[in-house]
Amino acid sequence: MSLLEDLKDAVIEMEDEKTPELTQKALDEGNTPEAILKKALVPAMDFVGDQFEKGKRYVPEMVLSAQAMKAAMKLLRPLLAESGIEPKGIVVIGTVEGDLHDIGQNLVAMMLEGAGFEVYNSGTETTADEFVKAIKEHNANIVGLSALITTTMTHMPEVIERIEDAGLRDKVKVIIGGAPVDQDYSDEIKADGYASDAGSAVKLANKLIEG
Amino acid sequence: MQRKNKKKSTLYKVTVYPRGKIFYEEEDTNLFVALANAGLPVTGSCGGMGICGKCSVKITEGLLPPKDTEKNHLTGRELSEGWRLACKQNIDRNITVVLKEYVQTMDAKVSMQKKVSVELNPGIIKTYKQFPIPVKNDNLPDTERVTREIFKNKNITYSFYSLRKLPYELRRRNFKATVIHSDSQIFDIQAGKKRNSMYGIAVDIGTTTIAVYLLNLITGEEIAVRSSINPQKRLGADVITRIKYLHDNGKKGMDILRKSVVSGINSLIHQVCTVIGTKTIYIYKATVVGNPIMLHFFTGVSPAFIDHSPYNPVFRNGMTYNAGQLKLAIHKEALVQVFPSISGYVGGDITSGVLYTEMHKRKKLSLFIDIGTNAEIVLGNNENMIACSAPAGPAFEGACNKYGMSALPGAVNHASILNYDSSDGLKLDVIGNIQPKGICGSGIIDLTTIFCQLGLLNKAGTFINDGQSPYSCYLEEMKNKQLQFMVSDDPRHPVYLTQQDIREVQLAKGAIRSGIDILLKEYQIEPHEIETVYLAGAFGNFIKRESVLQLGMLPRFPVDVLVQVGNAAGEGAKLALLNKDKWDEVNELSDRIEYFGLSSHEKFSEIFMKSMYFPVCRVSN
Repeated sequence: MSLLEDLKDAVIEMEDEKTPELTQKALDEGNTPEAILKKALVPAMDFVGDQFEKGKRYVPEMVLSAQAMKAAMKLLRPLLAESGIEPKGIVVIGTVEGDLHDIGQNLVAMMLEGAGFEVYNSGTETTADEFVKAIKEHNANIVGLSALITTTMTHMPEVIERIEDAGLRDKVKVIIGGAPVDQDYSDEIKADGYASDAGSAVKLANKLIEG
Repeated sequence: MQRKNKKKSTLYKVTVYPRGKIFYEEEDTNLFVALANAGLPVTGSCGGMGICGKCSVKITEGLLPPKDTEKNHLTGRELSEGWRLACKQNIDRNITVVLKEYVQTMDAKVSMQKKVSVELNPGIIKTYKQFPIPVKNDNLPDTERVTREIFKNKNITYSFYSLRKLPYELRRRNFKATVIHSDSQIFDIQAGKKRNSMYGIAVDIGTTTIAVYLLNLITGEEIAVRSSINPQKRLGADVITRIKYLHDNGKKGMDILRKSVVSGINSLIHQVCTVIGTKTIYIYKATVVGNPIMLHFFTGVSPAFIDHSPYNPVFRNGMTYNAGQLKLAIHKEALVQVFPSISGYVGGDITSGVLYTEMHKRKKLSLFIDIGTNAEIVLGNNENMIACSAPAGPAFEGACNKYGMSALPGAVNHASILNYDSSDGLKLDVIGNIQPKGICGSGIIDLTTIFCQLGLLNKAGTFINDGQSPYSCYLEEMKNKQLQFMVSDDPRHPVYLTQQDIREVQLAKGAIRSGIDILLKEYQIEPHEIETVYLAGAFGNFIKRESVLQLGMLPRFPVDVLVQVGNAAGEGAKLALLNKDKWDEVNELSDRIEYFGLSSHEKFSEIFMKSMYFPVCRVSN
């Protein structure tokens, strides 16, 4: 048990050189990949997300913790796939057309991964068609749209329209984020929700998947 | 946000106090936009997005329950008194609003420098001559009569204006006339001997402030300077919100944006002329600097494609027009030179600044930094120059944070710590020596540096209250559990620096530092190889050099390397105004500056993250 505690602490303390080693040890001790994920990595990222929401941590630390988590996931992912464990949900995430700002959406992607989602990051300047293509290809049930400029956020309703045209709107939940958007805007463009930061994005995704 | 299927619209009455202005608006018009269009002073730094919370108005008729966004920005008491955000109101009922007390501060500070040291050669000449009077069989055209006398046989063009006046002005005083010309064109001709007055203006169009300098083109003296808030500001505090305004309002929006900046400049032109009692028609030349978006708005060219990737401006090169085309209120044939830009985000204000510092002429390397919402950085020497634009955000302009303000009376602009071991050693400098009302950019930098020294901030920029510093007692917990530092406890105007403000500083500092580091890497040099670092702009001029170094916003340069050059953009514009060779020089140097897009650098995110940390430097007596 204390090994899992150590792993959890290592993620929180941003020690990406320690996490693969601790993960391997935990596996050697007979912990299942699922247990390692659920008892160490997920609670660690929950804690980090919570601290971020409270303003106790900031972007650079979030990224470092996420990197530490990712280093552990590298070992676990093939094992999880082998044991046939389904991911919590499949997420396609990207920054909309014309927008090159990706720090925020990368954080969200990492946090979702840390929370047990399978995440496909389409990166910056993703067009509506590219979103639709990625949703089909990965059979996603959540799509995350990010925009950081008031003049690119207008591409969000376009993407939603295109998803509708493709007949996929019932299959995917659309969540939006980025500095210029808010819950009012999410309601206006009929998205399924808005998250103000990476921690709340995870909570929102969990809620939408369960609901 | 965009309305489809426009139905037949109903008009609603909007009444605005204290001015008692009444106007009618179509259904579903946004109140913020309506107030701005009506020319009413409603503030807002986010352009009506519901982010800044600064456009609150008191609604006395047609009040609706508050939206969530409004609850975030206004207190329970304000909400119950009827305060709402104008940008969150759609006009679907008759509305009466009371505007917040609003003082538009004219005459923002621009330091006055009388002497401009450059050889006087503005390229505009006033020549009085007796031209040959036609005699029998002398059928020489009027134009040649004039050109032969002044230009010998050189090829010269006439402006339409001067050509149409030519026959009458020549004959009014028996072929004695005054000609106003450059070495290639005649702008104007007036009968008789005219007063030998020739003036020029240098115009600096900032996103926030516009400045107009009046110079005497015969003596080279600077006579007057006036500045004002850019009238476009009511349409959005920053360039992106103004472009959004353009997207939302199309051609009409472009026209409003162009007119508001030109009318702002024209009103300043009248003011500088009043100083010496001259007429605006004696102004024969203007040089104009500004960021690329301001130059697009000024020339009436739409920058609609500049705000999103791949960030295309319409033009980059320096351009020459006459004042009439641009609707500038000076002599209508006056020569107007719009400075060259380098890219969509590095503009004529920067090429002008480089021209002023002469870094493009020296073998030793210089670094030029102009800090604003974007920080433009130029690195180089007489051979190669490279530039980038780093998104610093609004932290240093006082736009986003609740207690942030411009460098106006009441702003904390400096802070220092006199005693680390007792809680009464924090000394504040407040502009105008009055009770502090807020904090401006230079004050925020000083305070953040001090918090690092006191151990109130950790490396990651989070406030920590471990009780170890006597100043811990000023840390208060906010509703959201974050800490904030009480800067001033005046019960009417308490001033705090919040955790969110520190985050904004981190973003700004991180952006600037990563921009510098990436340019140094691209240029393959180390910081110590740089001979001079120029800090330009109002903010660059006010900040304490020690603070920016301690905060790690710049690499560890010796403090003497940092030179605060003030409004370098305006100075460069004056140089080109007084000497036409400087115009050629700035065009030549702008072609030599290579633009480097930071976001295309593969390690930008990583370097940016690292640059957000603060140095740990706890100090005690």
